[in-house]
Amino acid sequence: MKTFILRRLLTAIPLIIVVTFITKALLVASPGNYLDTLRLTPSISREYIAQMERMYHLDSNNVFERYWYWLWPALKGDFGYSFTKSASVWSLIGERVPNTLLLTGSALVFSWLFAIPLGMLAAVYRNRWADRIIGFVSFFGLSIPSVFFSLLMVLFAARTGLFPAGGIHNQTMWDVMTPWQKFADTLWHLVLPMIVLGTIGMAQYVRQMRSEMIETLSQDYIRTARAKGLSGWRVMTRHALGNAINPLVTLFGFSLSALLAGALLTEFVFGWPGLGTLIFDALTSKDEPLVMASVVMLVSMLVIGSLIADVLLAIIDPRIRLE
Amino acid sequence: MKREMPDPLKHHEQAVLPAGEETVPTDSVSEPNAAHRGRSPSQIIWLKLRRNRTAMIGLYILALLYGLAIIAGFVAPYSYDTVRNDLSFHPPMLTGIHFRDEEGRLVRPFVYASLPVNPQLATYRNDTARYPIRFFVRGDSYSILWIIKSNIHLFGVEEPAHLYLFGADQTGEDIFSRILFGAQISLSIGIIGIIISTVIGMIVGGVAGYFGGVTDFALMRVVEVLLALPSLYFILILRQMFGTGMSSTQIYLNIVVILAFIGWATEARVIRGMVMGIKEREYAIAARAMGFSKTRIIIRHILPNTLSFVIVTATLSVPFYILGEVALSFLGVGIQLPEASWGNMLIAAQSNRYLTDFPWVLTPGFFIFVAVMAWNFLGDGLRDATDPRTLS
Amino acid sequence: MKKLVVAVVMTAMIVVAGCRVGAPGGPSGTPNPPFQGELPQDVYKYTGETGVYGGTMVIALPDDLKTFNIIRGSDTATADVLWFNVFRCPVDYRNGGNPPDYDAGLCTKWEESPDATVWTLHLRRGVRWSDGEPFDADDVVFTYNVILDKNVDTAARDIFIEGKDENGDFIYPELKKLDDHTVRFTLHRPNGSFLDAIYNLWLIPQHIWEQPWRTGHFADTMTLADDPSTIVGLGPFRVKEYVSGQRVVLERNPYFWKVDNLGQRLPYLDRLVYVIAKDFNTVQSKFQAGEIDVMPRVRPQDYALVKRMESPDVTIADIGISYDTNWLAFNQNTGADPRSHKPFVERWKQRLFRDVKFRQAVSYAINREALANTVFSARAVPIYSFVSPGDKLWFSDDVMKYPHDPARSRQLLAEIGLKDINGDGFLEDAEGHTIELSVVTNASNSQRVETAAFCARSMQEVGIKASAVPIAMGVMVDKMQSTFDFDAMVLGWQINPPPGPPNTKNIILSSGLQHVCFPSQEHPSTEWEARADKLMQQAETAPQQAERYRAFAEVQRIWSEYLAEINLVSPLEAVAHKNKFGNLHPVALPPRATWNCEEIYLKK
Repeated sequence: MKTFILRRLLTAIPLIIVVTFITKALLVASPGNYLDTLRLTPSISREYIAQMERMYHLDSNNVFERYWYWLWPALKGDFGYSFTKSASVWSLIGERVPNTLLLTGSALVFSWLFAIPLGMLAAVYRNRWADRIIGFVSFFGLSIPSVFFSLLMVLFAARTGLFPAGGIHNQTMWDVMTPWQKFADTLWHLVLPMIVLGTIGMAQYVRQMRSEMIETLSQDYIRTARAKGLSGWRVMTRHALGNAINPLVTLFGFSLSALLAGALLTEFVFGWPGLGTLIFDALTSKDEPLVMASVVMLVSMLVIGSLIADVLLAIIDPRIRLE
Repeated sequence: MKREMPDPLKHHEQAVLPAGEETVPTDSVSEPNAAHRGRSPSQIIWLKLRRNRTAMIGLYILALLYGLAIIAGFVAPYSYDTVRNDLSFHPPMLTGIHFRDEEGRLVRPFVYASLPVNPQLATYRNDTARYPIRFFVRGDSYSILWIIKSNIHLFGVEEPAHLYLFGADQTGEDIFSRILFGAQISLSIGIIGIIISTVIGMIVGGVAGYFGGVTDFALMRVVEVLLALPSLYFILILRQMFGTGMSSTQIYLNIVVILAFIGWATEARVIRGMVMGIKEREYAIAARAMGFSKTRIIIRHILPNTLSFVIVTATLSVPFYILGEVALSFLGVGIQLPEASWGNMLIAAQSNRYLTDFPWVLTPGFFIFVAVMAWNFLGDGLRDATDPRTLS
Repeated sequence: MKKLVVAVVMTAMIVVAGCRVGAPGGPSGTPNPPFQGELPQDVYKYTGETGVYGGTMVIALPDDLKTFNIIRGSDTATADVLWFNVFRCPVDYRNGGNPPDYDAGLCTKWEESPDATVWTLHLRRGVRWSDGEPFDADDVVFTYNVILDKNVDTAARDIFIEGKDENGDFIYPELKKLDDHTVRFTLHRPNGSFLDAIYNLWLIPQHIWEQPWRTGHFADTMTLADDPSTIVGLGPFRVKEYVSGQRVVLERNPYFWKVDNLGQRLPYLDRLVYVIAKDFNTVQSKFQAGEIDVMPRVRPQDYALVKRMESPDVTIADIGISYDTNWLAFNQNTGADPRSHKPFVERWKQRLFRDVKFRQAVSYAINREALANTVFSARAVPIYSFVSPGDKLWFSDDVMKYPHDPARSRQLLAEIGLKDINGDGFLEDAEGHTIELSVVTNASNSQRVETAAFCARSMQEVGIKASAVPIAMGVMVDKMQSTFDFDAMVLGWQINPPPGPPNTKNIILSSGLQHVCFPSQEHPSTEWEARADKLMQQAETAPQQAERYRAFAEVQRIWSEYLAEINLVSPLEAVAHKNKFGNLHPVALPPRATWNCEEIYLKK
């Protein structure tokens, strides 16, 4: 097991190098850089702009050179300072990551909480109205664009006032709220975006769960268990569920890797200050250090997520041998 | 007395045991369904598809949407950039079409012209004159498929009345017309994108799967890198490279190419797996023995056998392209205004005030939903139809 | 004896003032956090309207902060949040700066030598930083040295530039400490408006930042990730909390050094909260919901909507004409690409664009009132000078004006030999070229795009085949300053304070980077550019104020006649705010609403 994990982590390194190099190449190739707004400000002299260009190595068009200027400090752990905000890149990312994790994490829990029982129900009451309704809901979740769904929710919030129409917490009073008030306020802001992401995520798993469950339930050992007189529930939860869940563990691993990357549009519509909006802003303002560090973070997350998925699968399913 | 909990598995057992709904003859493999006898595989697939109600609903919806998109200029009463700044955010007029006049007699459907009450609040009231809805009227000029030029529209009203079926956006452009023109862009990107990425995927997957060895290793590493990229962000980075200053055709091509560039990897990987399996089959070995060139074997013998799977994957991937374009345009780096795309029409809905006061700006989102759902229905149906394990 | 009488009288006054506690209009509510430290000996007494303690003011902030380091930050968010609130300059404004009416603040007084080369500042004694440490002349010298340090990336240095020496290095005024509370600037050239530059000298504490600066880590100081309590300044507030992308919270500085006329310490407000919201509609719905109290920038296109929110509780204050300008410029560059030797602008276009009558014809063709009414929703005024009428000090109305006159425009075009030979509705020149050109502008600013479209349409009406081409900002800056491949450009300038010659010289001088028609020239290519260059120098350095005005007015006249930029309109500014605040006097200069933040109070 250990060698497997180690080997996977080692192969991740060339992957990160390649991906970051591609990113840097694309950034160098884009016209303009973040100093453009300064160039349009008459009160700023060209010498100042030239100095900034030298300081940030923006004066060279050589991709390898610019990549090296990033790579060498990065290997030592210094990912630099954001161009647009004078804060270290990691502090900016570190601020936003918990927000995104809060959103996608709760959405993940939401989707799994509903997907497993709904999938089981659909399998059991196959082709009856329960199955059809659940099927419709899952199609809905699969097909609805997250942008549209988020906007609908915002409209609902604004019209009814039941939930806040965006944001993560009350901006004006946060610093004087008690911890309990802060907790409740955050939860209140979390509900709608969580429903959006959760429903869309759930749809995938419900269908998988249903088809896996149907396959499992038609196996002989289930029939044997029933013949032995075990009650339906016991059979389902103890025998069927355990086996049906295997492929879902792989899906779970992929959802882990998408935890950080998957919420850009929802964050955008809800004004949720997460990693997605940070990266988007960094891209539009050509804040290179921030973009590079975010890419490293996202790719690492992907590798770790699929690694966890494989390890979990190996633990759960004794048939699988990690090579 | 202890109440017995209903047995959940009872329904399941009833469902799987032979009981009429699902007949599973034990020798199904050797004796195919009578209706399928003597038909080619594609005909069988088509028959199976036809029995699937949801898939056919999807197919009809897609036919309708794409058909309307082609003749958008004709069906839409206005062009996508016909501006009426005095009628900004006019509400939908579906209920504003009257069939009875003041005395209650049935007349030709008509509308009233709208006069602004408060332009900033976008409130309007009806003028007195009646403007009947006429058919085959002259209006803004358009072209169908770049060949047929005309200015006759299916229906319309005389100026100064303006027929806003789904309402107006900020500059008074008709949302109904813009949805039809937007369909041209948002839907066609799906088709063109999938064609490009499927072709690339088949070539790469075919070559990797067939030749194996170093070629396979190298190509699969490339595929891995592509799959490891967080796709939306890389699409954004690639768009940043080109910027928004190009003509709309250039932006369109740019978007399609970028989406296809990111999207071909999944298909390639699976095709490669299939090819690796197929090349060991008898007919492939026979073809090699007969001395056909490798390219010919790949193109004419192996890849066609992956076709059914490729079509299913392609159909199920079209939503990726449609949603990709929507996301890019919504974020402002896709199709630029005043061109119409379902994505950039939703930009107006991003502002809370417009969304709450003028909820009809959300209509394009509904159409995106319907289109994606239709493709999913169709793809699901195709998957079931091409699966040799399911019958009828 | 006299001293004793004065002391008794003052004590009596204070006692009487103290007895007014509890009277209506008098102080009520307790300041939170409470004040600390003793007041300066000659404390600054604010003599305006008296307020009461307590309350929070919530202000909309359209962009996120980039840094807390006021020396390095130069964007609007820094200006809004840090200027005057957290940091102070040696001098203050009495009226928000328009026109600048300098007031004593951290300086009790200043002296100017007759030839305007020596400026002596007398600092107030007993002032403390927001961490309680005493403030003195060393801090001023330290701040100045940091600004002048070439290794520090700051734009504040540029305003002190006096010229270049024989090595090509820049010359700056010298600053010397005379004693603990006096400093002296010695200039190399007379500069009657040197106070404008001192206005950019936002003071930072030596006792905290000297060490990081000397070890070369100044760029790591006062970052957004730092503990807010380390951001020490002389302003009435200090940073309490910052959450990136969401808000900045400022709380009262307990050591602030001003009192009001009753001897109460300022500021009145407990907290200032800046809510970051980029999209105007978000701001507006929050304002309506009562979450935001002040919207400092109501754009022309939003004005009518915001105006309807006016009520007994809400005021939409019209604060006059903005300092920003919008213009259309033609590419008059005579240079060529150094490698391909192809001229940047085709020869026939060069001839045309460099002909002043052509530019004047275009200027006559544009209906500025209609532009203001449509694109700017009637919230803009036509301008003919590159200085907006909003700049009450430097604006000169004695400029050549171009009322909308298409006939005159066509006449001028005919005079330079343009005729519609082939009858297609567009003019051709003598060589048969159709007068066809494109107007580029920033695609991400919809108002600029509409302005460019308006100008293109106006030109078409007089026979010029013009079209508007929105492009990405990066590409546009490239064209403007490196590749020079454009015909015409529509853009605008946002002038940072202080307005006037120092901040416009990069636009006016033919060697300037923002001299869009022909930037970075080694020698002026036309006689009017040469004249303008000479006059700009006078405008900056003539010792008498009247001379400076005359010179700058003459520059405006030259520019209006020769149209390096065809100036179009300047927008009108408005600030929306709740009426529950007293002493709120927004002005059209940044930071608009909070330049006198220590005086603002929440009415009970």
